[in-house]
Amino acid sequence: MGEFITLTTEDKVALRAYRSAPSGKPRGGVVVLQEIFGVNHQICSAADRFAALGYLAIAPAVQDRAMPGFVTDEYSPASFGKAIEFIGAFKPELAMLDIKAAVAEASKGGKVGVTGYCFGGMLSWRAASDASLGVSAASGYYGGGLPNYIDAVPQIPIEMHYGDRDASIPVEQVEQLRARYPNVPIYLYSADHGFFNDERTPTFDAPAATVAFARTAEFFARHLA
Amino acid sequence: MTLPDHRLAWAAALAAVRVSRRAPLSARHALHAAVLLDQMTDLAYAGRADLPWPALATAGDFLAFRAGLRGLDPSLGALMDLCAGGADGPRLTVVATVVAPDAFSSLPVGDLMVSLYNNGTVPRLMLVQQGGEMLAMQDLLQSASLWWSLVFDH
Repeated sequence: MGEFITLTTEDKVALRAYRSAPSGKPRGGVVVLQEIFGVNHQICSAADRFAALGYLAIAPAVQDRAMPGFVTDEYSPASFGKAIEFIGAFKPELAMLDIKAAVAEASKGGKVGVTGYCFGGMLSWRAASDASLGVSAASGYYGGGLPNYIDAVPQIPIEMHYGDRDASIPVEQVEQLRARYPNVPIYLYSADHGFFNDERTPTFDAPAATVAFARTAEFFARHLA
Repeated sequence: MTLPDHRLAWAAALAAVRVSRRAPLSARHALHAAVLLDQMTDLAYAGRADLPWPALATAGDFLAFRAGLRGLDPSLGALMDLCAGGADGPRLTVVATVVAPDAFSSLPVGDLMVSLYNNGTVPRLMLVQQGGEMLAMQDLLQSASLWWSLVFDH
């Protein structure tokens, strides 16, 4: 449904991105932010789902600066050896430049929403706190390291999705986030970390993923119109 | 020990430890497990004559009994102090803990994913003692439940 393109960031870096366009005139744009496995089949598939809803979807390879070209569809521990190179090499401020470039491309479809999973969920929150990116709404999924981003105040409408069996994000931290931002819709599902990823078992949770995606779709329909 | 109330309390404590292990960062679940494990002290004291440790079996009052337990396993004392809720007592907090490179391959996938974009750290629930020493809460619960299993798994 889509294709890989090359974007140019503000600091003149060539950035790979998956682009999935709707069949008709876009109703808006969506930037899909990856987990820690590169812009793999599942992320492309998520972008395609937004394109099917009528959005111009862009999934930038925000992992590329630290690990050029890294992508894997394998979720077994053995496949993580290379991913460890990411530690220390990842710079959040540069990721914002990548997101900015992706938002610029997605804005060809109209107002832009940002969504993402795990690593991308954390970036979704950070993107929502940076008004200069030009994002209109954000819907993030189980962004880890919540204490590291709770102080970044969202500047745009945002919603978040977490699982109550997530061993890396305790419910107490989600509770703190909800208390800190009472007007931000923060949804808690009876699910594990990564519940939206339908290509990763056993953590995929179809009921939670279905409800969460419906909420994201409704949220974007409301804020990107 | 074989009294029915012992079995029920012990089963509840083990269940709470299992729940805590499934949500290892949850202070709420960890506290619940700690309280139920601490309660086993009361039940063990009630049946102390049957204990295989003579010093405990002949302990004077309940406080002496608890002091004796502390000497047998450090995790028991740490949980006692936590459950006592003293103003200067230990507290639970989530701490970003650095993962050694050779330990990454054994991390659960969710932990590993999150650690990669948090500078190679994983969050861990720690019991912070008065002097600042930190003990991994899941290790304490595991150690205490193993110790009590010597008493109640008969």
